[in-house]
Amino acid sequence: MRKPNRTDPIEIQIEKAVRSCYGKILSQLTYHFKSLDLAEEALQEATISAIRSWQEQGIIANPEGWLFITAKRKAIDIIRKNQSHTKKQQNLTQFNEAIGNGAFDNEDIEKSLQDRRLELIFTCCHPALDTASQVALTLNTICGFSTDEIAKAFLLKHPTMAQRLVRAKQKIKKNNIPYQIPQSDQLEQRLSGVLGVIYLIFNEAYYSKGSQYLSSKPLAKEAMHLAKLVDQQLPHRSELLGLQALMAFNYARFNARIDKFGRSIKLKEQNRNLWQTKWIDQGNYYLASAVALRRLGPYQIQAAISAVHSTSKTFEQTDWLQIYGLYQKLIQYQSSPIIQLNAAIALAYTNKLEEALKLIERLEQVGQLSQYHLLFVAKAFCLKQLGKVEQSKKAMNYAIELSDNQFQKDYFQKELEDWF
Amino acid sequence: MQYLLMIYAAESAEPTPGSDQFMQLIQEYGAFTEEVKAAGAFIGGEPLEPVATATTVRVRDGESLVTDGPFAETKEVLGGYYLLECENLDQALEYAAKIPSAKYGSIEVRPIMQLPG
Repeated sequence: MRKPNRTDPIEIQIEKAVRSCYGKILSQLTYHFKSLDLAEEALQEATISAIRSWQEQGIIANPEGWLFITAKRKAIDIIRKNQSHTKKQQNLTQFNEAIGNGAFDNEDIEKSLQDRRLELIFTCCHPALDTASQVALTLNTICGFSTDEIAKAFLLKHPTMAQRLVRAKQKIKKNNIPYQIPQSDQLEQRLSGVLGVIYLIFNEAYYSKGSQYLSSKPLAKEAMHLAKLVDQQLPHRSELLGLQALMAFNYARFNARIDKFGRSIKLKEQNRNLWQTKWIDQGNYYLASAVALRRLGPYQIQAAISAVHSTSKTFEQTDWLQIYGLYQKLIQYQSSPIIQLNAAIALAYTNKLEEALKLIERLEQVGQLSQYHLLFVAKAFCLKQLGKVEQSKKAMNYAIELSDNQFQKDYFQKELEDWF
Repeated sequence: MQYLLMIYAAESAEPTPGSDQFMQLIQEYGAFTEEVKAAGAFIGGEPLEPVATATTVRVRDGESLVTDGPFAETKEVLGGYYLLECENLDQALEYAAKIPSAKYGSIEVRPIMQLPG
């Protein structure tokens, strides 16, 4: 941690300069040396050199090129130290062939710095790794976040996160998981895994209590940036565009969704003037591009639901029938009890209260949501609208009992008093 | 790099010897073995006798302890293996998906440990 009053602007500048190209250089080195370990070590050493040299002279004009060339030299030094490893020697030859032995003028650097981040993203999101590791690895290698930053974002202790990263990197190494874009017959499935990781990162930023450490907005932006990066190399993928739309709509509400105490504000209570039109427009653009490809999927449907909310002037003016229809469609792709509950709530807002109540009660009996506070809030709402005062109160009180935080309990209590 | 592809399946899920399905399975295995041989990936691979023929040995405090089993008729048991030379994990996984038993059992893919020296 940086101590206050000792913040050196040049240090921050260097840190920013390194981070902005970290993933790109690391991917490039990994791709050519066929070793993430070696690439990380070399880039680390290059960063140390950069700090030393730039602290005196200031940051040079092309920090990315400088870091890349320096890291490449460091990597070659490391390989030379381990010359007995013939395999590495082969890699060195391959690498020199690929980028040219002398390659120090800007044009050559530009050419050799061809973006290989997508290859490394597919490695990090390989299905041989567990999801938590996929997320951590992507943030660590592509986005350049430190172990400490990732640990804090996920409310984990530093050693736990460090171990997770080490194990994942070992698995990549020992299994020889390749640094490549999957072949076409595998691409669809593997891409869907990548989208899942991007969405997890975004949601972590959007919902997690831990994300305040990493400042949740930059983390959310990072997820959107990752999606853009994938889109640049794999354009016209309907679900990728759908995910981009979904993230843009949610990002538009970023400033409206948290109060000054850092507590989340429900959609119903949000000040819609704080929603950022720029991002809503962006979301609509992505969604239109996605839908034009005529390959529907769950991200596009969720984005469409978000689009309806984003373009409604008030909560009451929301087109709930359309939202209900979209949830029905979503259920065809992923039928979780939560999605069914959301569908039932949308139905209740269209005034089909008896029907909605039946759905909610069925979900209550099935089990998974039988202790879920929001189910009982929805149930209480339906009962209230149907004039069943005592039953409604009972359901709301049960929701208050089940809720695990005081702010929420107070909120439901106030709602109950407003109702009756 | 070498990978061991271990074929796990519930023996009860396997077709009875002599049946048409069994003959088809044998043919599919033959075709798969031919494919990996033609690709130069085949190092070894054999089916195993049923798990009922298994014997287990443990050495504790210098004493050798021999027992019958394991018996796990309902669970997926090791029924055979392939040892393949593959470029990377993705290639190994591609081969694993082509093993006929993958359709009703599962294939565990493990890299062979590279010992130093």
